[in-house]
Amino acid sequence: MSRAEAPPEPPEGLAALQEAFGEAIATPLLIGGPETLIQVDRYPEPALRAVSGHGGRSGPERLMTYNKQYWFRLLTVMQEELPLLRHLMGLTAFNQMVTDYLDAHPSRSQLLQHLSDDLEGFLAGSERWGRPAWRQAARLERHYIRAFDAAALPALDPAALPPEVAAGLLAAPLRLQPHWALFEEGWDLLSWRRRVKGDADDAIAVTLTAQPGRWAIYRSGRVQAEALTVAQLRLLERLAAGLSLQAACDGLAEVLDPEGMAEVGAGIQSWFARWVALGWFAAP
Amino acid sequence: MDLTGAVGVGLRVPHYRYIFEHEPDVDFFEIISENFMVDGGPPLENLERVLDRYPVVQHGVSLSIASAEPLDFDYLKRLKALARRTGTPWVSDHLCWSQAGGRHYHDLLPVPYTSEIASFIAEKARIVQDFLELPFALENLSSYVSFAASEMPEWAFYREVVEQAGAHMLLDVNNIYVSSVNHGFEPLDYLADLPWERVLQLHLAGHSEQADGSLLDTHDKPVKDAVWELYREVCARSVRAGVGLIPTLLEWDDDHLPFPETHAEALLARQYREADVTR
Repeated sequence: MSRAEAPPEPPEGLAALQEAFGEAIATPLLIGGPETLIQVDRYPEPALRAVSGHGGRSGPERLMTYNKQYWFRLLTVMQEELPLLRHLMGLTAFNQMVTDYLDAHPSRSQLLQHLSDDLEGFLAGSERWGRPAWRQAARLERHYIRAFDAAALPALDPAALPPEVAAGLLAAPLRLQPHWALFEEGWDLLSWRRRVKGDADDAIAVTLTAQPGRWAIYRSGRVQAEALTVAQLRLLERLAAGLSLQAACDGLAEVLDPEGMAEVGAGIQSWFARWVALGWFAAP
Repeated sequence: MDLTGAVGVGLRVPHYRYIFEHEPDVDFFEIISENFMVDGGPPLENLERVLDRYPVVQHGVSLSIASAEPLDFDYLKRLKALARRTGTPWVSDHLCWSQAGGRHYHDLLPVPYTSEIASFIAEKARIVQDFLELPFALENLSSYVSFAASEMPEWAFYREVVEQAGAHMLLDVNNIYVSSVNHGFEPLDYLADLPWERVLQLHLAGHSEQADGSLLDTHDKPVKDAVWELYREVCARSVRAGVGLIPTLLEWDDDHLPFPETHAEALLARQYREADVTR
């Protein structure tokens, strides 16, 4: 049997039962009051009819176990994956936000690390949850999540390149590693993320300071961040867009002031050497 | 890889440091396949270090074989690639569904126990086993609901699925006990007509009791005495059936103890089964 053959047809009613059951267990819990409430009155009727009671527990009561487990599991994962957002919002508000998010954007992947894929877009479209600092924090968290287990291509080592390839390096498009990303912030978000990462008990109170920052997020062993100047950021943006080093530098005058251009002139060689040493570029 | 009589532990992040520093004498580790179906980074680096020293078996949670939706061959391709990397002697997942209507629920959800549904799942299991080119085992669930439409007990359904599929069983002893309390059946009834020759592996774990007396499969505590006694019976029956001592794995997924204590809990399995076998 190969995948080319037609898949088996499910028994009649199975798909409908599972969709109703799924809708029931994904019914949002009401968070924020003195206790968390289960909205069993929202469970679809087909799910309620399908399940049996036992041992003093009715069918709906037994469904509630799965409803609670569903949200407990996903909230726990998001609390662990998004420590900065959790601290910025406070746990109760964070749990409410995640509930609203996953209700609107249910998981479409077998892998839990994709749960927050659509979070930044959700926050951007939400009047309640769309504060700019929270949206930037979501973007930063996403970079960290992606960097953790993204592929790592063989790193560029100019000294190991054949002479003819090395000679053409300046004019050839450079490939940045799949785990690498640029991040700009309007507040000291990255600094706070470093501090709250291990604070599972939410003991640390975050007070943001308006402070522009520019970073490259990458993985070398663990996920790390390198602070960038404006000039470095603009150069890396152009490299990430697929330009060669030469072409990237040539167009910088359009986006940098004379002071920035001077900085590039003075620093480009040492910058590139450092970025290569950090493993940001993939071998051609 | 001969894991007859082996006792293993679920590989978990909090234990990496101890395992790499001390290289404890562990028969095998079990990994959750989905945790390593990534493109790079520490998960795969740590896996390579473990593979250098230990046998590894793969256990999944997202195959969703009982879903009305068709099999996901992109997922199966990645699963097969991982199996080649680990050299696992078999691949296992659960007799459950976890996706419907394009949504993933990240849970192990039961189905009604009917012959029609058993045949449907068996056909999918046969396709999976053929595709993976490895023995494929289905694990019995802890479940918290039963269905009015069920026509047979869980153990009969389980047997029907694996026999029609030509597939195998990963028998979770804790799950038998949890489900027996939640649904009011005698756990020994589960073992009565088990096709022992199809059982590739056993699971043990801890569970929690809710206020109403029902049990939750939480994997965050030591194995309860009643489960150890059931395990003792499982081992005695597997030996009497001529299949010998089946590889046993301890699952512990939350409120972790240090590795030595976790391993010691797993090794209790040797005491429970050997006392009976030598009788």
